[in-house]
Amino acid sequence: MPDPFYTQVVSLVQLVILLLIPLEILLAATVRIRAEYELRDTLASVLVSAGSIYFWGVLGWLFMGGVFFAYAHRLFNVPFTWWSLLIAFVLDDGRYYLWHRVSHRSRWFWASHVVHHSSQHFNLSVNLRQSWTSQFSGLTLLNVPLAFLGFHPATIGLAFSVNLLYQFWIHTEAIDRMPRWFEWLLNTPSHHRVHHARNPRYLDANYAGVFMIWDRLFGTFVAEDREEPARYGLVRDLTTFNPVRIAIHEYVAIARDLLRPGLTLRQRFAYLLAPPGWSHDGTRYTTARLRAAEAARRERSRPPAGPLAAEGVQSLLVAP
Amino acid sequence: MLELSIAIGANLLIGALAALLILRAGNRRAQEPRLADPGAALELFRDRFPEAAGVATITADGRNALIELRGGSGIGLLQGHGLRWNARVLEPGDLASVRACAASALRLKFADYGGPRASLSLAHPDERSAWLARLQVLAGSTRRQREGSLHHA
Repeated sequence: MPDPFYTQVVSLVQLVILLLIPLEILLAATVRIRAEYELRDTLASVLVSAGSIYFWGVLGWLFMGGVFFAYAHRLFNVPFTWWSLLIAFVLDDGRYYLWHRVSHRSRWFWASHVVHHSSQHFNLSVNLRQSWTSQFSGLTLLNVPLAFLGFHPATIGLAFSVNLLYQFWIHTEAIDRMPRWFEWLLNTPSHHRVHHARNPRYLDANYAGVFMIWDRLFGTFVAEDREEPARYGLVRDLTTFNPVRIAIHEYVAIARDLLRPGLTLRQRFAYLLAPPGWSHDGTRYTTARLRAAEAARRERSRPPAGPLAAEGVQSLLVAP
Repeated sequence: MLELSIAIGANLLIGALAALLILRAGNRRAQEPRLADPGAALELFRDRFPEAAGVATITADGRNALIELRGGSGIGLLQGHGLRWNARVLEPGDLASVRACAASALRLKFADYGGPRASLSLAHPDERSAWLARLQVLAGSTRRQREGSLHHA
């Protein structure tokens, strides 16, 4: 089992990493790196973060309880070594991909994760917008298989923490692109800008935590296109900076839909579990519908092919 | 519990430091963008709804616009949200109520916990009463929709 020293190191690193937020603000104001901060948005993020830490502290046992239970019934004894930590880290990253993908594709889980996507800015402070309800959404169960395999809960906790800490630096516009090999293998600010964008072609893409390989493997990778800058936020943006509303608005929306009179049981289940944007009467937009609408719009705005288009090209060529 | 308090405290402290730096950098509420004219409002609205066309009415503070969308596609609402703009098409079911208040304002209440209300100040009385009537029709359809659903149930 890992020494408590590791936990202390992780906590310290976490604190130091948080200081990168004021540093980014400072650099944006002095040497003009690309970073846009807005007072109320950042304050909302800080308050959401305080709530998130509180609920993690209070309900964290749900996460650790499941993991300890599985570990008590483990299949193997995996020793704590550098290679077991590495294996745990890679497997946990796979777990993160799955968690993240489900969090975007099913409304109940999205209601928890939407908090992280609620800012219309993309800077280091966006890291602070974390869910208040991740402990009881049910996805903490995804941490159980590693413990069942025989990885010690502290190893799992360490892999989990390092994964989250890695993701801190990718929430920035200040870094354009990393070297090509790095962009191929690992999650980067460029990949994560795509993930936080609400442009239809960028929606539901780049779920990876650390290794981009999961997205490449499962067909969810979308590269950032310089011609189409990311527009951040939600498909239907919030018009509030109130941290409580930010944290629970989607649950309220779900409750309202579930309480609608006249729905079948199947429709109620769909309002709870179907992809965000699903509606029984088709009046709302899922990612698939948004993409289809965008594709149709692009098709309509494309210049017609044939003699007229050729004429257009010629007139461009002779224009002074 | 002590560890939890320390974690939250450290978080708030860094948040306070960040807020201080943002204020020092001059990024305040006063710098919130304002709409220069109806054309600018439409252009911003098209950022979200690229094919939208219509006639925009800007509020007195330049922070919101109501848009009568062409072709009977409804009412568009552009709202300033800090440094950003939010655009939405108001549909039956979205608007819970609308009422006129003193100081030329229209108060809109939405059936949306993530965007519960808007206050739109329209300088011209004619514009104000026209929009009030238009929005009341929409709010009425929301009410009828609810009552219809209840009746159906």
